[in-house]
This record gives sequence, structure tokens and C-alpha cells, in this order.
Amino acid sequence: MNRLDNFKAGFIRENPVFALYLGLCSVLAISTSLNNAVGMGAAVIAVLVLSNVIIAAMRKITPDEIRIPVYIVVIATLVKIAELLIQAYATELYVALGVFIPLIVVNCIILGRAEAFASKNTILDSAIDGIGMGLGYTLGLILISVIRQVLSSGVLNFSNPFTQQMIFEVRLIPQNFVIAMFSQPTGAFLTFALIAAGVEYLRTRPAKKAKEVK
Amino acid sequence: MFKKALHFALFLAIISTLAGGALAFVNSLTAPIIAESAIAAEKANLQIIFPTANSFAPMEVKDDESGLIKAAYTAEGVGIAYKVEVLGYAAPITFLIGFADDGKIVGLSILDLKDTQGIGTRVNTPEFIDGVVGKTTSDGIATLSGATVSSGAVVKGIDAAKVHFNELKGIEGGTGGVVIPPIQLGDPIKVFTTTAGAVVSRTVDGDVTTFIASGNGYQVVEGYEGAKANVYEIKINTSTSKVVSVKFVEMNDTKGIGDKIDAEEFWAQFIGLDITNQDSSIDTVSGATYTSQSVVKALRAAIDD
Repeated sequence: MNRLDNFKAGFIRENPVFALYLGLCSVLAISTSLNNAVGMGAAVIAVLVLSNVIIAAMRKITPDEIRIPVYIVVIATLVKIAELLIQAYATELYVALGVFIPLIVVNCIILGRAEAFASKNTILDSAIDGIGMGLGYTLGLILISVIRQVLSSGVLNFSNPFTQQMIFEVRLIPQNFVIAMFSQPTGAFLTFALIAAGVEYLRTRPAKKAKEVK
Repeated sequence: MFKKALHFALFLAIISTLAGGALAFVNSLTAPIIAESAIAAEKANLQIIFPTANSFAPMEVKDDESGLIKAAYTAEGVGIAYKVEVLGYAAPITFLIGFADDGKIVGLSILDLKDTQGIGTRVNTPEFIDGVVGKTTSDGIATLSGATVSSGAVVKGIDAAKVHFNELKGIEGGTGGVVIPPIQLGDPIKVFTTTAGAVVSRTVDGDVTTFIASGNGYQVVEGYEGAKANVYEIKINTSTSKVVSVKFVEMNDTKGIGDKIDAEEFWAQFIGLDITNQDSSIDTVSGATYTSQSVVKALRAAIDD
């Protein structure tokens, strides 16, 4: 697998959210606004890249028998650092994401990539894998969030998480035609299921074509 | 084997130490910023209570016996605001109460309230807040009938702040405590248009017949599982056709709501009620309408009997 393939893997073919179904708990819970999605995505990318890099750097000296506790310590430390930084510099985001920031520790994407990729590959490859997977997660999160935010409130907006300054705000659906259900868990599951079905179709279609040619 | 275990332990210990060190470093960087932003967030609320104050300083609260006061801030030259957390109906309620230096309550701002929508949330409406602001730290504060738990909790919290404030400022005369408001009578219901309950037993003693009768209350009407009707003892003077007395035998409706009708003012309406008068009516206790109706149902059953 060359590096570009490795980087692109996370977007569709191995998209952590829609293809691997990893880290769904946070995806379903916080995907109510674009702001949440971008903030959560950035936190996950940062933690994922750093944990991949550190774990790849230590892969030769980490005893195999205790690798999982070591990974957990590394990931938990990084998440706590991310949490403190978010609380200090982006308080609004900290309040909006709530318990889901500390829960990044148990986000399966991170431990999953540490175990499946970073523990066997070089630092550079692991970093690329982290960015690719992190972006895949973030894109999945943004996709669900935008659909849910627009359908449930009719408004799509994005504000600077550090200053609370509104960057853009557009009303796409008149107030009287919004579907409030989409801000509820029901809406999260519905949106997720429909997108996952679409992604599954995209993933399997090339394979079917290849068979027909034969 | 032992060597291997030691190796693992040491490796984990080193990793954990490094992690701890990194955390301590980041914490030392962010802690002051986090503390500052917490005060900044509070400041906006304090400014609403004391619009004229220029600066606020945290004040230490030592001798708070209630344990409800979470923080206090002095507004320079204007007064003191207390941040109080009390246990509401569903979850803790956090609020800021501001006292001017002369003991006047100048502001109440509810910060966190997760009680029942439309019931407990009434404490965050002008209905309640207007009854608090403008009083002094020596006045009692009335709870809201129908939202007794939530409003009672807030009043209790205000009381704790008042105790501390009065002691600090040397204001004597107590805090006035928690005032339970008199029951409010709501819509009247006509005795002869309600469906009758059921008579359980009757004993005749001269002119006075004592009925034990039941009437379906809230829980039966709403179809609660295992719900039972409310039971009342109704005494009727059969020679004068007047009601002598009505009282509870068994209350099977929601505790704290249904038993609101067990008040002197409510029962007094029944005494002397003419049972031959087709227009007789009874005022329901507002907030306990169903239970009030159940009394009338039982009465109707007794009259019909």
C-alpha cells in the first residue's frame, strides 16, 4: 500500500464511521451542529495523530504482553491534555461537547488504529494513517451534523470556537418547516443509517462491476 | 519470569510517570485560564443582579451551616451575591441571589434548573422571582403552590444565604423563613352534575348518618396501575338535609399534590351544605382539581344513597 492509498483509505473504503462503524457513540450524540462536529473532529484528529506517532515510536520497546495498558495510558494522557486545552481556550465548545471529550479515550477509532496500524508501521506512515482516519471521522461527523442541523433548525451556522464570533449563518429552511426530531437521537440514527447504506452501496459497487466483467 | 514481570512493571511505571509529568505541565498552563473564564462566566450573571457595580471579588464563606452556599461575591459598595445550590425536585438547582448592603433583595437569577417543565420551572418565572426581589433579608418568602418542592428548595437556599448575610451585616430579627401560601381555591364544581362515587358503608346515629364513601381521584381517572379511589368520611344530618362534616379516610392520589385539599378552608365549604339544593357547588383546590372532584363524587354518592 503506498502512502497516498494509505491516506485515502479513511475517506470511503475504510471510513471509520460509515464503513468500520467505529466511534459511533460520540458521532450519534454530538452531531447536532457543525460547530460540535468540527470541534470534536479536530480533537479526535489531534489525539489520533499524536497517539499513532507516540505508539509507533515506542513499538520496538513496548513489550507485547502489556501493549494495551501502555496504549491506554498514552491515549488517556493525550485526551486529558486535549480536554484541558479545550476547556481553557474554547469554553463554549467544552460545554457543548461535555462528557464526550473525556470519552475520546474509549473511542474505538483511536485504540483500533493504535493496535491495527501504529503498532506495526513507521512513525511517518502512522501519522499519515492518523490524519486520514481522523479526517474520515471528521467528514462523517460533519456530514451527519450538517444534515441534522439543517433539518432540525433550518439554519446552518459556524462560529469561531475561540471567540464565539459568528463566521457564517444561513437559513436554508423556513422556521415553520423544520423537523425537530432530527435534533433527537432518533434523527441521529435515521441520518446515520441512510448515509451508511449509501456508503455501503458505493463501497461494494466497484466489486460487483469487476465480477460482471469477468 | 520474575525478571519479566519486573520489566513490565518498570516499563508501565515509566510511561505513567511521563504521562503524569505531561499532564501536570499542561494543567499548570491551563488552570489559571480555566479559573479566570469561570469567574468571567459568573461575572455576566453578577452584572445582571448588580448593574451599577464596577468590580466583583470572590468572598470566602466559612460559617455556612447549611452547606448550600457554593460561592459568594462582593460587589464593591453595592452588596453581596451568593451562589447557592439546593436539591430541587429532579436535580440540583443553582441560583444567584443578590442582597444590597442595606438588606434588600435586589436580584435572583436561576442558573441551572432541570425540574419538571411547566411545574418546577415556574421558579424561573416572574411569578416567583417578583415575589422575592424587593423583599428584605428579614422577610419570609412564600413558596409556589403547585410547585412546592422546587420553590421550597429555592426558598430554603435563599434562607441559608440570608442567615449568612444577616450575621455578616449584624441584621437582627431572623430571616422570616419559608412561608407556605394559603391554598388557592379554583373553579367551582356543582355537586349534582358530577358522577357519583361509591358508598362503602353507612351508620345511622340518630339524625346524623355517617357515610364512608369513595370517589375516583387523579390516579384512577388517569388509569394508573393499581390506582385506588380516595375514601372520605361524610356526615349528613338527615333531618335538616345538611352536611355536617367531610374528612379524609384514605388519600390515594399523588403525595404532595392530592393531599393539598386536606386544608381547613376546603373542608369548611362542605359544612352546612344543603343537599337538597340542586345548585350547590364546591370550589376546587387549584393544583389538586382531580382530588377535589373525588370528594364531590363521594359526597354525591352519599347524597344519592
